[in-house]
Amino acid sequence: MTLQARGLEAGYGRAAILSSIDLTLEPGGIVAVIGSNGAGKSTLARTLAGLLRLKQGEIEADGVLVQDHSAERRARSGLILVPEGRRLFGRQTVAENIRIGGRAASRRSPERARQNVEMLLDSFPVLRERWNQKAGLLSGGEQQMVALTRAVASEPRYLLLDEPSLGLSPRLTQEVFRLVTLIARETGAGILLIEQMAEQALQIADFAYVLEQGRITAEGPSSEVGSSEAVRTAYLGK
Amino acid sequence: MSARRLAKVGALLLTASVATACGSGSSESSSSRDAADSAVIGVIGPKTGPAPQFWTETNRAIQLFAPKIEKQYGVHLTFTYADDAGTPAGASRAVQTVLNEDNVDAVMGPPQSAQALQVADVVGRAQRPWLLHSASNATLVPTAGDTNWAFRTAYNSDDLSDVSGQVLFAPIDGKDPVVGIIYSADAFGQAALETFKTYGEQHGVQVVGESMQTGATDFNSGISRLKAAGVDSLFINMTSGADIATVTESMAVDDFDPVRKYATANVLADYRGLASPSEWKGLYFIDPENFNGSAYKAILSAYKSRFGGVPDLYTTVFNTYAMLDAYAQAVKTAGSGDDYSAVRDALENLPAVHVEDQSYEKPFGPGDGELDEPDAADWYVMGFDDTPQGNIVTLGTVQHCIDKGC
Amino acid sequence: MMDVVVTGLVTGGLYALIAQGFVLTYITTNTLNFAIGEFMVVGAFLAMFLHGNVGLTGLLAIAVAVLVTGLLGGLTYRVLVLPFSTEGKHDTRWLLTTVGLSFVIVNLTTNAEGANRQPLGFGNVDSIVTVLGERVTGQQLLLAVVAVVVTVLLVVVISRTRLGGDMRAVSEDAETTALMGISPRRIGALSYVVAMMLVGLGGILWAAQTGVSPGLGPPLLIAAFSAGIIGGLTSLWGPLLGGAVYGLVTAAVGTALGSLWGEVSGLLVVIAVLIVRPEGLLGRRVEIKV
Repeated sequence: MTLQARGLEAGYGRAAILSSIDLTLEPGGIVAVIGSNGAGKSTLARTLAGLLRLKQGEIEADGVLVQDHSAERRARSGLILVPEGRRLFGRQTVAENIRIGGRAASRRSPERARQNVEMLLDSFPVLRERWNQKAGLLSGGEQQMVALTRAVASEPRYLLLDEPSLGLSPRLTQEVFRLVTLIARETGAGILLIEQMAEQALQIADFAYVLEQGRITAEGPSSEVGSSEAVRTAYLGK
Repeated sequence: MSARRLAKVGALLLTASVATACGSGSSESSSSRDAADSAVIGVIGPKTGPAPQFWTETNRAIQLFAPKIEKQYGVHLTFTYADDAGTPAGASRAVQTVLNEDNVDAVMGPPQSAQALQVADVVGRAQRPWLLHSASNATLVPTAGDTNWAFRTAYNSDDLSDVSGQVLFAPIDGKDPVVGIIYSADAFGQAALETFKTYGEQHGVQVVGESMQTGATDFNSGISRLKAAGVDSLFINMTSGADIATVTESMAVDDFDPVRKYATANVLADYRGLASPSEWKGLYFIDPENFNGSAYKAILSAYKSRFGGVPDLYTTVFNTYAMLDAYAQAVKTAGSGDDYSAVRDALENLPAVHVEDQSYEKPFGPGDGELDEPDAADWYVMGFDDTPQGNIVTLGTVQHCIDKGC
Repeated sequence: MMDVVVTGLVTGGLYALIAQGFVLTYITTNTLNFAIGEFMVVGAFLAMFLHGNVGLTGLLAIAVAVLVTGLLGGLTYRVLVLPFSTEGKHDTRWLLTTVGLSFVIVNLTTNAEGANRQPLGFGNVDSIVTVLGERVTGQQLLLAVVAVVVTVLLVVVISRTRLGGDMRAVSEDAETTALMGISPRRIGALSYVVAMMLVGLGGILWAAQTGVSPGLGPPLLIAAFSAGIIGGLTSLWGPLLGGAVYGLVTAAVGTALGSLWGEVSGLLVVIAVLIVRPEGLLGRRVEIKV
């Protein structure tokens, strides 16, 4: 029971942005992919979610090769992406956003998804107050919470988070990461946390990959990766 | 293979195929013109394009009447056909094909004036008799000029406007009418409007024109304007029967029922299927022929038994017949279709053209290529009865309607 | 004066119904079917065939013809629109393929049926009715009523149902909708089906009054496109407003200056709207994302 990428090569047009990517994600675990701007983080997220066709390689989810499946099919089987910039439906209410997230879970376990959503709302109650407001009118932090809740409504088995800290204050980033840990623990989903904020990401992750110029240059348990000299100078500014 | 080499081979192949094509073409034409009293007619018409009915009716009239006419005069007529696609460019191509490849003795068509205009110069330069069985615009396509040898069995539009004018401008209850004309926004419509305006100025009668776009969804605003202008004598000069139906429907909606309302004979095609008896009550059209006369009856019954149903274009069928009769006689007189000037002279000097039991004495002459004359006593006023299918009824000659009212 | 208002509004109904066919596909796929006029023709010919040759009753013939026209719309999306709109909002190859389709349909129907207008033979409310003291044809009134009913139905479906929610989501962000397990292509195909059903219905009801011919499309394409632009291609209420404005202006100017000027004035309104408020009177201003 894992999500595995083997020898991924992907990009736009003829140019390959990612090459020879191998990574593994297990349910209940948090795996960080850290990399700077332009390292290919979003390309990786989009390729795994099916928004971008890969040029080479395989993606296997729980023993099924999914690289030829459309994005919506991957979502229905529980491979969920929270895209960069959150991409809420700004003209719809918070409730509608979360309800539409439930569409991906409707054929698997909608009941469990609903319970998990309640759990998340209990832990971030301000969303209940915003329930019938247009999502586009919320603050950045609230929007990220809605995006996470929407993803949980999809009952993820594997949850890909593309830079959830983007545009958030350090305090809100902490809050988001707290929720991410909660989601991993309570839903049992495997979480791939694709982040620029290396230090915070490494704190909550069990395992980490370092992405540089479209290739994985280092990997290992997050404590090891965090203490390696190269990573410390490049990402942690130490 | 190098590019140069390839080009050479290509050129060779091309030359060979052209040579073959020419060879087969010429042998075919020569065999068809061996016999005396024979001629080849190149028929140009819109097999494709927006108005294929002109092509269909011409074709059917030839199938129906050519054998009989050939037998009657002892001539042999061969027909070759070219599609003008209903466009001026298509007509230019088609006339080149019939003249250069088929080497025809006479050109028949195109049936629409705009296309006929395109081929006029070419046919004129080739010095072949030109048979206009349908194109009616005398301004665009004149006959009997110095430049071409055109003969027309269709009525020409000037004559139609002239005769229509005589009836439309006639007084109503002793007073001058207010004449309205609904015209299409094209050359055909503009020409009609000009004729009416001139006629109105000459006779001191007010003329109100309203133009209509072909295929318009309704004509309510035009009708309101005609009604407001007090029009009591109306002419609907639209090319398609469907547009005339749009007009009469809007007239019904606006409750506009002038004392006198006429349409072109195009009202015969499509109109009755789209309108209802209450809308065509009192709507008349004029034509040089009486559609209830014995000649037309014979033609229509022959048409019906061969093709099942009546023609879309009555007049095209009739005028094709008249044209075949005229040309066959001229070929007989000249001895052969390929003596073009002899055929032309024979056409000019024909004693009579016959369509079934109807005759036109001395139809053409030097400087006269028109079969019909704008004489109100020779034209008929017709309308439809109040049955759902709207049978054609003849009200009398135009002169009769002017004198006594219809 | 009143007659101009009534005539204008009632004629606007037909334009609105057809324009709805533009709006529906535009909001979900950002594409327009420029063969819309020819889909009217196809619908009308199908209904004529089903009634005249197959012997279906009028209502059944209309229902089947509308459905088939809709399915052809879905097929058009799949084959001629979707593969030619894959490169984002600036990819407008679908424009060429749909215009090409309109030429193909005109040629096919002209060759099969000839260019003449033929009576549909049924479905016409053959009467003149009085609205607010003014006379209009029953059929035009029927079309106007159908346009209003259809618009209200669409608005209810799109704002109240789950499918409607999906459509709104696709219209806002198709890619993210796919991440929710919903196929934007399916929603797009469905929009084309429904849109072309409406267009087919409009075509049949219109042809019932005026007859059907391959040339039925172009005059209505212009009017419906104008109604869509004036009202705004991103609003379901847009076609009703746009149809009313276009109908009123062309009727008023047509009565004052002649019907050709009426049509010209309608197009001038379109140009004015495009200059002053390019998203249309009710349309949503498209934000440019940085």
